[in-house]
Amino acid sequence: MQPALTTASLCIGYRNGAAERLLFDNLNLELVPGQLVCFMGPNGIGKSSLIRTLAGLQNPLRGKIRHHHEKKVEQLISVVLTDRISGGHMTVFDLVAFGRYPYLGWNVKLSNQDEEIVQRAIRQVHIETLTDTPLHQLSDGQMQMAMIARAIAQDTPIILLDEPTAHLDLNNRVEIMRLLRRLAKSTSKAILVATHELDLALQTADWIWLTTRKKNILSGIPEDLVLDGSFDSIFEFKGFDLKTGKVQHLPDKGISVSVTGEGYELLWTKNALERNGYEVSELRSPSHITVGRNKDSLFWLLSTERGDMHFNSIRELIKNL
Amino acid sequence: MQLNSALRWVVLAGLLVLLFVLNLSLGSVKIPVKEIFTILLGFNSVEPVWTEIIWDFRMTKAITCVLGGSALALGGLQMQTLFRNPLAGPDVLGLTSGASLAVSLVYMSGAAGVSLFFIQSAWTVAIASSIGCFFVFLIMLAVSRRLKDNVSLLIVGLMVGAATASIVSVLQYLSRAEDLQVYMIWTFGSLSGLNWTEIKVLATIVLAGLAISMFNVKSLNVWLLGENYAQSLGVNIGRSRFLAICSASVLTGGVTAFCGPIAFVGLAVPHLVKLLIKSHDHKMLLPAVAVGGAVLLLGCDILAQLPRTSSILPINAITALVGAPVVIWVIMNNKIIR
Repeated sequence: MQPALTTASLCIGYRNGAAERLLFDNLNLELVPGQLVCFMGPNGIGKSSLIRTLAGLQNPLRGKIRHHHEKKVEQLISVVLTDRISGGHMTVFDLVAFGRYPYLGWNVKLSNQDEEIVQRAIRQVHIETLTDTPLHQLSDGQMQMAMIARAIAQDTPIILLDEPTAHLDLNNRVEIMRLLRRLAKSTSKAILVATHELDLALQTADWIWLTTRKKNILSGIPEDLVLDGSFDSIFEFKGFDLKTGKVQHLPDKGISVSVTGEGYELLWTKNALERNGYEVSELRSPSHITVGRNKDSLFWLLSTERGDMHFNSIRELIKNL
Repeated sequence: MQLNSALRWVVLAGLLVLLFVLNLSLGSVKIPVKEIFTILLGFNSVEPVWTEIIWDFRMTKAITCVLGGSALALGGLQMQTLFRNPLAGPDVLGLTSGASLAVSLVYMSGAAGVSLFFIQSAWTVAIASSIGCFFVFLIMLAVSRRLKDNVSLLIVGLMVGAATASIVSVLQYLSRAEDLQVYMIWTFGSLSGLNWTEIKVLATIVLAGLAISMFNVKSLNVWLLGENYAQSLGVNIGRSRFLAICSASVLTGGVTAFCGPIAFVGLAVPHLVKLLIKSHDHKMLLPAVAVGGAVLLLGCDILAQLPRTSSILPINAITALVGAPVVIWVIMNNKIIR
């Protein structure tokens, strides 16, 4: 598919007189309609500057950004930034209606069609009930949803978002990433999200942009970048195993146990054992745990040389190990 | 909702008419209300001197109140929007100090050995005052691009005010008593004393400022979201900022020239009007704030005459008395404002 935006030898940074602070060098990237791209990298590396440059809010040092539409940039790219909005008496509807400004004349008159587009954008992020709510009454998550609705109402083929999930709880983070993915698929928009949510990005992104130490950006599908070790070398994980998606625990108790059972019960029992410093061995060890189900309730059977013990929760099991 | 907002407009317009008539009927000479209407409708009054009092003294003053109040409030609203700062206003950001400095140069520059302005006419004072305002506004704008934080900006505004005040005080120290007195009376603020020619000048300035701001409505609305969003929505940042500055400094400068540095109106009126007209849309806010400014200044002028003596209180004393509580209220309700 033809990309919506491509960059050619793009260099990004700041110029202060003759001095130049280069953030990214020689970028050749593209955004494709219908794809959700997650843009990842450590803090302070210049992700926001790249987004601002792509959005036309900042000039590149060198190189070109090509749009594959013959439109003004405000009708091509909408942004959700980290800037705080001071609402005053603005309602959610008023905020989302700002998305229509690139299409309005000097006297700011919304047509029926504009109003319909605003309402539809609000429906798409599922905040219809908040339409007439003043902004200062919104939670952080609701505010972010409203900002996304504003970007949707701008009706652009490209949306760029700068850390839309920062400061939100897990539930809101998942909701926003799922929404963005659904939006990319259902409306064929090219969506770029700068985010720190590694686990969410790996599960929702079609494509990952990963900043490197050489002021460049690696791009690829998430699974390839996991398996070829790109993520490990950039993020230098300390005690996190990306391939299993788990935090690494040292078996500091020096005790080996074996577990049999099935399903989630087995999974979470292993999790508890590892978290508490036990080594879970594949081979049968002298301390063996059987996870089982008796009618509706779960039980844990610990078999040692001293005999069998029966527990009704993992907490009791760990206490008696 | 529709009916409700229409009602609010009726309240504003009603207040304007009521206070205008009340303002005309008050003064050291007692004139019956019936006679006032007779004179306004162009008929002959029983007392010919009343006609003169109404048309050449009270009417000019009431119109000055309307023009001055509207201008200051419009300037204040645009500054609060542009700086995204509820405490922005002509006086807090040092604009009136800039105007004071320029006007003091007109009145007292002879004392320092250089005469910058040879003709001390209404136009000279107005132009000097506007230039003074504009100059300080440019300084504040440059600073505001570097300092994103509002408190620092206000401190810089106060410092600019202090610096200009010190230059003014040097001029005062050096100048002759007569020149000094003309300047001192100017600083008290005065709504009377404008003749019809001067009112025409002021009206032209206010209409120009209003026209620029109405032309800039779309940009003003978008400024509420901040510079980045404004730009991403296709607003020409540099041009709209320049238009807002031009409008605000012409409005503030013009009023300050003719009426002296009138405090707090520009700061307080936008907040009071937003209480009544709950909107962020400048297409609504600009006219509403213009009417609100007129109402407030008419009201303050009525209060200034309340002692019922031959002399009236300086208008600045009254506006500060009304404005200061509003500032306190703004700070207490900061959560909603920002």
